[in-house]
Amino acid sequence: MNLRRRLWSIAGRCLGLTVFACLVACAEDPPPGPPPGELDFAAGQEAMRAGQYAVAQDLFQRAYVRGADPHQSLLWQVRADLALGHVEAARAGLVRLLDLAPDLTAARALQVRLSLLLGEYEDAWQQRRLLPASDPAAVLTEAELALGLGLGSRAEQVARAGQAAFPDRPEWPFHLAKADLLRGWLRSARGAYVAAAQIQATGLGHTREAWFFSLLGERDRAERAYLDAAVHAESDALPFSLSSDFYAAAGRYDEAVTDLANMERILGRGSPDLTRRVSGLFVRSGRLAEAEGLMKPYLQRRVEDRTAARELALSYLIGGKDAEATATLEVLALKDRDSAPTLYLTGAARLRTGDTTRARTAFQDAERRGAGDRLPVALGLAATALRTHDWFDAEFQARRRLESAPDDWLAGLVWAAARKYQGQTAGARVLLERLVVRFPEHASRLRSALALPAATAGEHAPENLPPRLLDRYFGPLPAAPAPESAPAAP
Amino acid sequence: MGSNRPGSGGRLFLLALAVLLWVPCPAVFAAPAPILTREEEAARKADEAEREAIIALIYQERLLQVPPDTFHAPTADPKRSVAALVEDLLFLDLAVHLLEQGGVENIDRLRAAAQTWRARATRDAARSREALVDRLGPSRDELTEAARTALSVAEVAARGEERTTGAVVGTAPSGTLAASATAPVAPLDYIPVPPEDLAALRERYMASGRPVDEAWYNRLARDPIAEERWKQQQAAMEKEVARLQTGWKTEKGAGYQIGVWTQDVWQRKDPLGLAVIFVFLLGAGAAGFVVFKLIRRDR
Repeated sequence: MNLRRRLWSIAGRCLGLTVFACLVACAEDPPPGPPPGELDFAAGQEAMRAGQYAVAQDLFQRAYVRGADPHQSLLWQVRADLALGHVEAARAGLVRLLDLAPDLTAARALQVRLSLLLGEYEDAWQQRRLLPASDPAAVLTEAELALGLGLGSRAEQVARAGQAAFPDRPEWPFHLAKADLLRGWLRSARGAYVAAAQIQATGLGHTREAWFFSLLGERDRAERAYLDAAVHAESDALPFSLSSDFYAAAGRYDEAVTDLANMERILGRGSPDLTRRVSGLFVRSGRLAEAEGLMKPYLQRRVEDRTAARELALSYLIGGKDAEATATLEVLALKDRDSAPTLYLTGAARLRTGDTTRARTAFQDAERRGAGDRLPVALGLAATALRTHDWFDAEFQARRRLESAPDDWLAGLVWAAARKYQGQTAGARVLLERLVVRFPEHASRLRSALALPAATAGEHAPENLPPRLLDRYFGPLPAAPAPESAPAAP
Repeated sequence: MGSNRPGSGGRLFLLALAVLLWVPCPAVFAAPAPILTREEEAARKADEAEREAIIALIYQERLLQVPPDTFHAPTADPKRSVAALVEDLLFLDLAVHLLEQGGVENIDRLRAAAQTWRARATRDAARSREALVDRLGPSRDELTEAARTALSVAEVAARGEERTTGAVVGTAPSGTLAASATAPVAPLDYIPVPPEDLAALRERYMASGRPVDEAWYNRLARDPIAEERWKQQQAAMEKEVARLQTGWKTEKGAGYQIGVWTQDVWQRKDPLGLAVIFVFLLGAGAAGFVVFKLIRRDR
């Protein structure tokens, strides 16, 4: 009995051990299909292609943790950082990656390029030495380095050698054209750009051409190149994005929106900034309700996008919703206190609501932060000065505005008004006449905006408005027609 | 010493009085507002209305004309130096290279970041550039070139020099380069492009593009991926807030959690929670009583 029980016990234990061993063996077997890290990595690449950079960054991080190739995961994380505009994070990521894998050529080349992009030529030069000489990225970087330093001949040498060694890279003809440009051969560079773009006939080639011509200010040629780029862009959305900005800067908002729509067709659900860009264009083309309809749900999802909040405030201001605009801007100014456009819009809203002193402060802050280059801050200051009866300051600001924007007839009007309220009616009259000559298309508006009493008999222009000063601001007066010679007396 | 002499207090008092009177002096002795005649008052009001009209004009026609936020719309500036122009051109090449593998469509953030960086480090960049030029040891011709790059684009265009030879300045490192250095190169100019009318091409492009209609707009207004992500973030945030409010810790055991929850309910005087605790205590008491009775009966 005891023996049987013992035997049963031994058999049971053996059976249990066998089952346990089977379980362990099954558990050690990897599940079918690729490991989860690689799935995350592939999904991250898809997200990058679709423009979802933040999602891609999360996925690459997860791929790194879950056992995908660590070097590639980190490298792609750096690329996602760059796409998000986090340059410093990308640099830090690269340093970390190169500590782990000093021989990773792709990472090293990316580091060199990043240093070049940031204008750190010395660092780029040092980092370039660590690249293998047989690598096309090394040669390309050396050529770009010479171009960045302003050594055209050396850049041409390197580019010709690189073209001979690696003829399939599309950059060489463009770099040769830049070398020509550095040596002062503008016509040659222009021709080389056109030739390179025509021969390559790719979206990016034409985009380079368009970028070059828009930098030279040749709008028609640039537009033609953007249209060519749009025709040749197969799966590349960059030409559409740049073209959209080109049209937006030219004030052609419908074409800019069409470009964005085409871009979205390529990217699928695409860029995180797409909604903001489209609604910004809607605001400027007067489609305010649609812009607000896009912007409000977008801002619920991305509270941190201050540019979008600013665009919404601008939409409110244009639509006359002053209370909403002021509320939005007051909250925004707390978080975005260093942003010049936000301060500028705050100033405009306060001027509108009659809070002149604070409007002036906001305009001054905006100017201190560099808004004066792109925005008419001086005119805002002139408007506040007009309201506080500070005529001298109004004149000063108006003249400042005329210095930077000689075509601004409103600044001239403020100058004349300031003279009128100072009591210098004659000076105001002189200014108004010069303005009418300079801007004949606004003559009726100028005359109706500023009422001046009729000139008296002995009135003459004040000495502080000499013709030379007026010529400086409004250009010389057109020459009077020569008086016809009197017919000779019979 | 002077304060001990008789009469000095009186002088101090007078001094203090003078100071006290001096401070509000402008308000007290300001000229009264002039009494205007009816015509003067009408003229003042007309001036005021005129000024407000000018201010409204400025507001509508200038202050609200904010250009769109396009970082990478290049601007033509003939005063820009050739070196700066080449830097701008290189920016696009570098950005395309950096981003081509990601299929990225906009480079505005990158450009903004790079601009910020450069603005901060301009002096260092210039210094490093000079140091590097020194170290590279360029020839005299190259130094002349480097000086020429400081010319503005307009000046370079005005010089109107033609490229007639492909002579490469400096020593050519290989035989092919030496050969190409002596070979004449035909001057490149505009390659004739097909004379297609720009307006017609634009019209065709606009017609072939994706229609910007109501359906597209509605689809853009709803972004399922971003909404889903936003919902996940909201849920995570609510969970986090709840965790912070109650002080629960996920790494602790069930007993700890129950203790924290009880304390929380007791402090908040949550009626539902108190009712649950009461019922639990009642049930525990009843169970204890039953167990006690069973034990007694067994004995």
